[in-house]
Amino acid sequence: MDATSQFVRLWTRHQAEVERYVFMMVPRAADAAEVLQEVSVQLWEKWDKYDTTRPFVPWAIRFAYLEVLKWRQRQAREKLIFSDSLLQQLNATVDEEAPLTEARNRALETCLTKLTEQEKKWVHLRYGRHGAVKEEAERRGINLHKVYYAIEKIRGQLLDCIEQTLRREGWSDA
Amino acid sequence: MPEFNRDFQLDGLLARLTEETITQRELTDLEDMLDGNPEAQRRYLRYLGLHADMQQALDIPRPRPVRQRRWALSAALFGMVSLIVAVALLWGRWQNETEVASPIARVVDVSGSIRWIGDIGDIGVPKDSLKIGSSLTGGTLELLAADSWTEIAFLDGSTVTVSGTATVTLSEGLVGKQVYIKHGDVSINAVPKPTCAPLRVVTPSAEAEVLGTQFNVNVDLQSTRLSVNEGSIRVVRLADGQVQKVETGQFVVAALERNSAFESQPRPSETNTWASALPGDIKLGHWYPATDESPGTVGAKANLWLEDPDKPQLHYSVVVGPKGISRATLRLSAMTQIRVRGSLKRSHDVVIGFTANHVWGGFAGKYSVWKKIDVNGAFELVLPLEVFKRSKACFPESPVGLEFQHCWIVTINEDAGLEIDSVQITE
Repeated sequence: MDATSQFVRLWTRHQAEVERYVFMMVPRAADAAEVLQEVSVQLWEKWDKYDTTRPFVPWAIRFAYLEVLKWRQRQAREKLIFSDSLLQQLNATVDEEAPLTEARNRALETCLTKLTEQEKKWVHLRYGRHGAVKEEAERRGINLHKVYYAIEKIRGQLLDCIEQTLRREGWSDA
Repeated sequence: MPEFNRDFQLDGLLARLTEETITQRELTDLEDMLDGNPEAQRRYLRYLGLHADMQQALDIPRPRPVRQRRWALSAALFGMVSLIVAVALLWGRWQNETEVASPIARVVDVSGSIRWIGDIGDIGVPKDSLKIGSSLTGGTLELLAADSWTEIAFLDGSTVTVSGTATVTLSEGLVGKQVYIKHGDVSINAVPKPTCAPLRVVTPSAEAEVLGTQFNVNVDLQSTRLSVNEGSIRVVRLADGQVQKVETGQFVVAALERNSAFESQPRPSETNTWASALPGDIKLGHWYPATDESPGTVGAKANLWLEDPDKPQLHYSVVVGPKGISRATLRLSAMTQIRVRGSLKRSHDVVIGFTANHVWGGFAGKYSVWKKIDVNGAFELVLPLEVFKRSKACFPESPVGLEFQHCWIVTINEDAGLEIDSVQITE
């Protein structure tokens, strides 16, 4: 496999993981998409420096962090942005959290099945299609703010359920 | 074992952050809570991670293989991907129990670097492979370059044409068809069907309901411009809920800034000339303000072009076009010349192209020309309209009589230091 094909294969496969990291550092979808685009360009430009014996995702995430900082500098005059210092702290905490991610994801899988049918429906509408929550709220004559509050509560429930599951499994730092 | 006491104030702020409704003051509060507080930072990352996982789970149409590694982060990410697959299957099963996904639209034409992210039921159309004739059950189009475009037809014949960099989500539910435009330029031709639910167009700043209408929408993060060529639409400005009706020949701008004017107006008369006003007219590029020695310029911005998966290319692009709120219709004539002034750090091939609409109509086509610029420093190109060739045979052979939208200047695969300081349309 030539270097180009390998890049496309790895980037296509792991883009979602890098996107997740970028979103945690830059929590506005449009901004995160812009940063992700810059990351893809940097990775491609530096592709000849990539050591194929090393894992791709950590390598990509190092570039992603640098692009987050560059983006932060470019947007310095905008207000809705975290400080460099906080981004640095969050980046360090991402590393600490990494060993727990697999266990948390397994737990989430189980916790999702514990939601009521109505809760599942709200989550599906919220994450399945843009505007679907509003449509459903209008159709049923429910105040949209109440629906978003319900979704907020569901996220809290899921997080609590995950913490409990991890503690039962003996994860000391959950 | 540390125990995180659930902080409802923190969770409330995180909810507003993920829904993108957080205010500046609330963000400052959030930053204060997170700064120097590892416990709160963990909650933040877990909350946003959960949100991202759910979002990706419902965006991904098929399982993706992963490699296992000993390294902790990789293992964690493996877990994340597994979760995405599991959640996708879970929701897919749940969805199948409650509703059957069926096609809502098909691809009429497509060109350029475009990513398609289907809804969960959209397994028949894999991500990254939008093809002419594909049936779609709903999802998101990401057009990644200035010369990308696609036309999608809903089953009732209503069409949506997206041109240039854009993100557009198509869906159809109980209350009818919906086109969500996050950003970009879109032409919509809604077929008149009085008995059906109207087509709904939603952007970050406006919402419109339409029946039997041809209109164009230009969306950026701050505002939405809707320009009606035929029929009428009812537009709601989301910032304050004000409503305007926009008739044939009129336009309206709905901005997030509620102190700005929100009123239907007649479209300004036609013109044949235009000069870029920078930085306001930048659609893609880095703005470098003027210094004592040089004027302000737009530097090329890199984007990865994956139209052919075996041959990824880097495009270094500048895109500019009339963006003024009350811009006139800029009609191209046989006498039209496009003047581009800028600089290169070394000699290089440059692609210059533009997008055109039908006057009083939607998207018409894209035209481009390659030029070798043998210069290290400033250059000026004066290009008569006849040197531009259509990029697809289905476009009108000549752009004469069409309405200019925006133009792009690109170097391919090499950053030649392209900067543009002016683009003019002259006669």
